Amino acid sequence: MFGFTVLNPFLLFFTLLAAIPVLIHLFHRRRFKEVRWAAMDFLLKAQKKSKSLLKLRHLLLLLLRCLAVIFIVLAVSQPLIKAPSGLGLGGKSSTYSIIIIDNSYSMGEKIENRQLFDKAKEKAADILGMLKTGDSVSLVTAGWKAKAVISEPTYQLSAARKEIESLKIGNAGNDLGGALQLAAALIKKKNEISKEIYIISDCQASAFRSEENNIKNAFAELSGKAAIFLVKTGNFNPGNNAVTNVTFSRELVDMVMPVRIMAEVTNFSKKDSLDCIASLYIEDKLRDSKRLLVRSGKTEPVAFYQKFTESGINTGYIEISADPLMKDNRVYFCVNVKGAVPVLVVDGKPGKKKFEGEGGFLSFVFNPFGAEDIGKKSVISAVVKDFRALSADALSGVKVVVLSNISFLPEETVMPLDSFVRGGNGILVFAGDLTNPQYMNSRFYREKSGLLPCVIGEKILPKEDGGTFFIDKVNTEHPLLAKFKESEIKELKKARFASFYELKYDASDPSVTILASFNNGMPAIMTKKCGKGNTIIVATGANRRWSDLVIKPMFLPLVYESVYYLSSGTEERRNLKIGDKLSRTISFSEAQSARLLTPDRRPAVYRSSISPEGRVLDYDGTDEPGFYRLYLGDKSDAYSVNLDTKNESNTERVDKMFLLKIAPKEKFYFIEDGEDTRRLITQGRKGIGIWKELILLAVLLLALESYLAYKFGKRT
Amino acid sequence: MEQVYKKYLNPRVLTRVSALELKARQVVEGIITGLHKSPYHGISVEFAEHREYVPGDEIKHIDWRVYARSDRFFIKQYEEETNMRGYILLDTSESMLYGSKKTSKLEYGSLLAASLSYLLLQQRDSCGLVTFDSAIRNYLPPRNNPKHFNLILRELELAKNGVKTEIGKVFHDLAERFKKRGLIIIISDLLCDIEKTLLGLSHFKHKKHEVVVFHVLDRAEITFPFEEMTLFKGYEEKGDVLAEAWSLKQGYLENLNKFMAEIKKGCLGKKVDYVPLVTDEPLELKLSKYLTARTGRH
Repeated sequence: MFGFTVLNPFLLFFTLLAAIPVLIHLFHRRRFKEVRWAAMDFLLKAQKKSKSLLKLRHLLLLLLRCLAVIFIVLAVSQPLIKAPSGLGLGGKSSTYSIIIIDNSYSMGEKIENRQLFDKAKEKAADILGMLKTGDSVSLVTAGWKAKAVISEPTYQLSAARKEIESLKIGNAGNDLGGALQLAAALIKKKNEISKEIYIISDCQASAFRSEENNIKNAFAELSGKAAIFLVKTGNFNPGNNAVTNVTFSRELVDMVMPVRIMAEVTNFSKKDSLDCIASLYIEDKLRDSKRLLVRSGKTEPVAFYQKFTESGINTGYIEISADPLMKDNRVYFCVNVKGAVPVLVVDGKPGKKKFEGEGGFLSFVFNPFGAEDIGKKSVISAVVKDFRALSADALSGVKVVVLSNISFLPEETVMPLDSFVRGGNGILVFAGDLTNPQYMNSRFYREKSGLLPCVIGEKILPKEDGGTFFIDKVNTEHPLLAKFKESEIKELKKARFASFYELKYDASDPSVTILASFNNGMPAIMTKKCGKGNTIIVATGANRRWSDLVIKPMFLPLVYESVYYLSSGTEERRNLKIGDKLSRTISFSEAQSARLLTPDRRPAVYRSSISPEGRVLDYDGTDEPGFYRLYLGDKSDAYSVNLDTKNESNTERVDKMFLLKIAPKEKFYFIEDGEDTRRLITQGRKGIGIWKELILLAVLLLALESYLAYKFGKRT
Repeated sequence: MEQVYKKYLNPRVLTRVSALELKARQVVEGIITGLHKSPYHGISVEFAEHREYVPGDEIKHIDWRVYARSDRFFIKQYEEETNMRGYILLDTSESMLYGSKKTSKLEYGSLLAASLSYLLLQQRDSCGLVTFDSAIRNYLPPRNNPKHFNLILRELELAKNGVKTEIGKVFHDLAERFKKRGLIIIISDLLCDIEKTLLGLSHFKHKKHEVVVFHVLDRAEITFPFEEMTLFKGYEEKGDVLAEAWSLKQGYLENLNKFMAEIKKGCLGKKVDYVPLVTDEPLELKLSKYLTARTGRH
């Protein structure tokens, strides 16, 4: 049944004013003029004829006037119609309210110089002000990850108010689904008749859509158990630009070659952004700025070319010009700039002349201009060693070992090589005339436990004389090959191979990846992840007899990138997202003085555990964007933490239709920004206001009365 | 008496009527000539015209002088000389007291009666006055001496109002009482049973009287200018009506117009002159207009 109530019941007393038209009528009847009259017969006849009709007309007009007065009095007393299945809200019984405040970083958007989050807090305080003594309240934040700030309902509304005031805006996305589930769990514990949930959010469309199922399920769970008020903050969407991604053109960043730092700027607004300026800062110093045009809803790349001058950990960020939501305008990065990459080339068939063996050839490839080149034109410093002279000590200080045309190695170097790779270094294997598959398989494949990704099989020759093979498929999704342009990949495919070794691999092994395949489907280049390091095997030899790849322009960058890739295996994961775990293994001695500081230079409390490699530091509280710095004695390291801008930076608001689709059918009230929150909540609690309709009705009745009075003869 | 003269002899009316005297006389004579051929021959007859003798005519009517001159027989035709009896019947019932302005219907009717009496007596006609309501209250038989006018005025002054009107009954009584044919002038608001009134008129006509009805009404009775809540207190014990006047206006006017149309129709049907008068209209104008029109008709 529909209920009916009024906000100002005492005003109903004035419905007695409806008697005024009756009194006026009676008074009017008592005030008459007296006339002596001769032609009474005609008057009596007229009266007799129209008496009943007149009476009816009088009654009708009187009724209209009385109703008009009643409707006006009712309108003034603010009547509310209560929907069926009312939950007894706003009555005399105590109410349990849960206030959910969205503190995702999009709430930091400023509209008319006012942050949405401040508005949200103000609305929450307003809602608290509507609660009465005896009502209890809980407070939940809906930024990732949803958290019950006040889980145990408090009756001290002033304490809740203080909690609301102290709330801070988060740096993550929205977790409204989680917040509602938390609310559902809290609701279950309370026995109050009246239960209300207030959600104060900017109602981001992306957040609602990505969390649609969670929110829908939570709404379904709450349906009928509590009245839900969704209070929207920020009706107007001023638009937002965000730096959504930053990538480096190379894995290995050195001081020799400039690296391309590519930032992606996304315009989430409905209008083109014409004068967006992106700036690159390294160690807090502005290095470059670029103006860019970002079309509405598009992502625009912007490239900065930076040559680092300091080896070691460099920090920087890319920032775009100011807009209403500042938090996502900056993306931090940390990069370990290499001073030099020592490479040991182990030659299986050393020649007396410079280019006689593959080792000599590869040595030339790495340092074409000799020793002066190192550190000026290339960070790679290659040393060629005879395979027989290889020892475990030779591996010291080396980042990458290139095994070329190896028939066998001194036995005492096999295990050190294994440890060498697993410790974060790399091996690049070229086949060759002297390659002994049996030896290699037994020492370096070892039934998938070794360094090789595959079993080296038989040598494959073309079926007819003069025939060749070529590379048909290239795995451009792999980080090593993803950096190459399409033209460079085409160049790679043009290379012709006279023969190669068959590489047999286990397709189910997740650590193994095929980087390129021949036209007969057999692998040409394969890689395997071993511990912290990687190995790469090329199915052919690094000389002209095996293929013309070595004389192709593509060969040089391919080998360089392979070395960079293999040498970066030891790199820590330095660029994290908010909420990611920061993990670092350090030696036991370093652990003595380890200190982790948050971006605002506060000491961070991390967890510590022991592993075979040393002491593992784990820190889960990466909830602030910026640089987290780890101090290990006199050494320091840095980690960048950034916002996940994928969804949260899109500040487009969800439309009401969508909300009504997922919201409960009953007791769900959506309050737009700018609407009178207090009034609408009161209406929601008690019913729908109908005063405007009543005023309209009263006006219509009076108009009808005037018309009828005119129609009946004369306005009375 | 001087005051009574002043009251009933309105100089403007008299001036206007006097100005019409010749015409009026002709009219009066005309009325008589046209309607009341004398059935008698004697001193009171007057030569009208000659007509050639046709066999069957009485010989005594042959004009021998004409025969002597022309040697042809001509019959002399005579007409009765004007010796009209005018009976003025004034309704003095209570309803005649109504007057929305200064003048009541009775005052207006009395003025009319006096004016007509003056006119008749000036024309050397006999004039009588009857006042009545539900019965005959006073009766002055027709006389044509000038002193008789004083009596008429005194009677008008002393006329007392009765309560109810019963025109039909009074007319029947009078029709029986008036032995000689004459001109019967009725001055009344006729607010009584219309059928009985018309029957009374028929009775007069049956007795060969000429009848003129001056239907006197007040302007308020015709326009019904009331709007507010009004208590209408009826004359002649007709009761009271308390109503918002606007709501009755239409019905009242319909009833009144219907009544007047019926009266008019009844009068025309009986060859009775029907002259509607409204008390705020200048009497001299209405009267002269009627007399002029009447002259035109005859």
